[in-house]
Amino acid sequence: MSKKEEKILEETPVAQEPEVVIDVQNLSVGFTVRGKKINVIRNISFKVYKGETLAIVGESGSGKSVTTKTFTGMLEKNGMVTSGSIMFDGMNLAKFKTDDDWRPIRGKRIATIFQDPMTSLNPLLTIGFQISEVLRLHHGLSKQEAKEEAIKLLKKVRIPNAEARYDDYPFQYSGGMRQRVVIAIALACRPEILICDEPTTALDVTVQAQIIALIKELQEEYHWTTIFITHDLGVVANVANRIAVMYGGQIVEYGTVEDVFYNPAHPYTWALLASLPQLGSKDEPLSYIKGNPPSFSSEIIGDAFAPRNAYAMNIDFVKEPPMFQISPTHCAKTWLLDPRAPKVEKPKVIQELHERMKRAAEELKRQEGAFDD
Amino acid sequence: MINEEELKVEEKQQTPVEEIDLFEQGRKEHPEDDDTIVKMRDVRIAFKIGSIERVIINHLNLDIKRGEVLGLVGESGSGKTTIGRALIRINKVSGGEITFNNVKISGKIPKKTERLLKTKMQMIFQDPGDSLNDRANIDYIVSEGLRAFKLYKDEEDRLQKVQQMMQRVGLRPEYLNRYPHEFSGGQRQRIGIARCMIMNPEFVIADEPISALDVSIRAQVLNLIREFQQERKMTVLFIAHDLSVVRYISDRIAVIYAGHIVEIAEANRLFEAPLHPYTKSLLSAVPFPDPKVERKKKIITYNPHELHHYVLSDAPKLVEVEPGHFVRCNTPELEQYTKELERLGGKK
Repeated sequence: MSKKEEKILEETPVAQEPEVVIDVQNLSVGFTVRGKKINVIRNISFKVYKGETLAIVGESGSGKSVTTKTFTGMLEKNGMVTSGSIMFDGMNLAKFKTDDDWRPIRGKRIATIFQDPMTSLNPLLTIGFQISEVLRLHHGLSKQEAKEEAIKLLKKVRIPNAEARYDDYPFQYSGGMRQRVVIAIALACRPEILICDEPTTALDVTVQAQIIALIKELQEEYHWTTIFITHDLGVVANVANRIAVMYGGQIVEYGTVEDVFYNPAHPYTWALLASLPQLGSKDEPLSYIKGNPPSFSSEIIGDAFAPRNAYAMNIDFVKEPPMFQISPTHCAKTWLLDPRAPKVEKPKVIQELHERMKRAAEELKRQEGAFDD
Repeated sequence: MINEEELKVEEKQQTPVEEIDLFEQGRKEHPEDDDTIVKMRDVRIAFKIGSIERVIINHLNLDIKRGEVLGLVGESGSGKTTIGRALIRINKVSGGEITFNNVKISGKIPKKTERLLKTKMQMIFQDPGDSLNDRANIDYIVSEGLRAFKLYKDEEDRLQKVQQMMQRVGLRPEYLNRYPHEFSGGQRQRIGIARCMIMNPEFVIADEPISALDVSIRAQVLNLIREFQQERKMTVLFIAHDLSVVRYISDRIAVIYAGHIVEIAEANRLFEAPLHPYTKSLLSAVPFPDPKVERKKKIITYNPHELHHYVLSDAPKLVEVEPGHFVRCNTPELEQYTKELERLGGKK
C-alpha cells in the first residue's frame, strides 16, 4: 500500500463503534481505615475506546484518581479491588496481585503522568538519567543509544537546547518544563494508554494550554489512548472525546463531549458547569455547589448528591437511581430522567452555555490569528 | 485594696491603636488625591542572593483607586506576588516610593505608622494550608488581629465578633475550637478570609486565593470576596494567573510580564481590545467550556525576543492609548496599536 493510500484509509471515518481497550464492569474499590472497611468506588462500569480521550471529571474525593490507579496496580497498601473486572487485552487487571504481574503493564503499556512534576521526578538524578533509565530497562538499549534516544524525546516534547539540558537536574527546570520531562519519560515506553492525572492543575494557564496542546499533538502521532483526570470541566472541552463525571465514587454521567456540554442531564454536571468563572457575568454572583462531598465513613443511602442537590426529590434520599440511557452514547444516573419525574428547567447558564461562549469567542475572533476558520 | 499589677493591665487595655490616625490625616491633607488609595512610584524591588543582586521589579508605577478591585495578572515569576508582598511590607523595596492614603509606607517608616498600617491593610494568601498556624485553634487564628490591637471591649465582645465573622463566611461557630487540619481546602480559605475581614481593612491584597482550590469551591470563595468588597467598599488587589477569574471580579486589570506592567485597562475593555501581544496570548490560553468553540481556537504564544525590537534610544514606556487604557510600547509599536484600536472600534 502506498503512503497516500494509507493516509486515505486513515482518514476514512469508521461508522461502527470504535474498539474498546479497557472495559470496566461493576468495579468496586474499598479501603481499610483503622480496621474499618469503606467503599470508595461503588460499582462502576465504563468503557475506554481506542485512540480516544476519556476525561474523568469530579471534585476532590470523588474517586477519579482511585479508579485509574486500579489500572496500574498503584492503589495504596490498604486499598483493594473488592469486586468487578477490568478487561485489558484479554487480561483481567482486577485479578493482578504481585509486582511481577504488573511489570509488563505498568509504565510499559499503561503509563501515568501525575499532577506535581516535582514529586514524580527524582531530585537527585539528572533529567537525562531518568529518561534513559526507562529506555535501558524497557527496551534494552545501551547507555549511548539510550542517551541519543532520550535527547530525541526531549526535543519531541520541545525542550529547547536538549543536548545541553540533558545533564540538568529537575530543580533547574520550571514547572512546565518538568511536566514536559515527565511526558517524555511516559513517551519513552510507547504506552498504549496514557493516564494524565491532573497534569496541569499546578501550572499557569498559559503553560497549561501548551501542555494540553502537546499531549494532543503527541497523541495524534503515537495513536495512544488518553485518560484525562481533572476537576475543571473548562479544560476538557478541547481534549476530550468522551467525558465521565464522577461523584461519590460513582459515574453519574457519561457521554461524548457534545452530549455533556450541550445536553447535560445530571444536576451535578449542571452545577459543575455553572460554577465555571468563564461563564460568570458581573451582574450576578457565580453559582456554586453548597455543602461538602459525601464522606464514605457511613454507608450512602439513595443518591449521594441528594443533600447538595437543588433538584432533589424524595426518592433521591431513599433509593439509588439507576443509569438511564439517553442516547446510544449518553447516559446519566439521576431520578430526574425517570418518566414519572416532574419536568425541571435546567439552570439558565446551562441553557445559554453555547450562546454565552460564542459571544466570548466573537470577542477573541476580532483579534487576528486567534481562530482558524 | 487594688493590686498595683492589675492596674497596669487595665491601663494597657485602654490604649488601643494610636490616638491620631495618620492615614486619615493623610487623606484630609490631600483631598485632590483622595480617589487614589495606593501609589507606587518608580518602585524597585531586588533580592540579594549572596553578593548577586537580582532585580525583580524596576521602575514600576501603579495607582490603585479607592474602592476598586484591581486584577493583577501574569505568569509565575512575573513579579505579581512580589508587588503584593512589597505593599504589605513583607518584601523590602530598594528604590522608589509607595504611599497609602498619601502617607509613605515603603522603606524606613516610624514604628507607629507601621503598626497602624497593619489595621488598614490585610492579605489573603494562596495556600490555605500553609498560611494557617497548625497549632492554633480557629478562635485564636481569627481573633489574633483583634487581640494584637485590642479592637474589642471585653472577652464577650471579642467572642461575639469572631462568631459573627465565622457565620458570615459560612462556617459554624462550633468550629471555633477546631484546628486547621480538620478543615477542607475551601473551608481553610474561608478561615483565611475571616481572619482578614475581621480587621475591617481598607485595602486587601488577595494573592491567588483560589488557585489551590477545586473549581466548584472557587466560585464560593470568589463570591465571598466580592460580597465583602461591595458591602464595605473596600479596595482589593486581586492577584491571579487566570484571566477568566479576574474578569469576573475586577474593575480594572493590569497585566504584568517579567516585572513590567505591559497593559492596564478596564476589565471589559481589556477583553474587547487587548493590544499587547502578551495580553493576547493570555486571553487565548483561557479554556472555553464549549467543545465547538474550543476546537477552533488557536493558542497564541508570546515570544518577546521576536516581537519587540527595543533600542536604547527608543525604550518602551507605558503609554495611554485611549482614556484609561495603557500599553507598554515604543514609538513604532504605538503607531501599530493606535491603528489596531481604530480597527477594533472605540470604547462602547
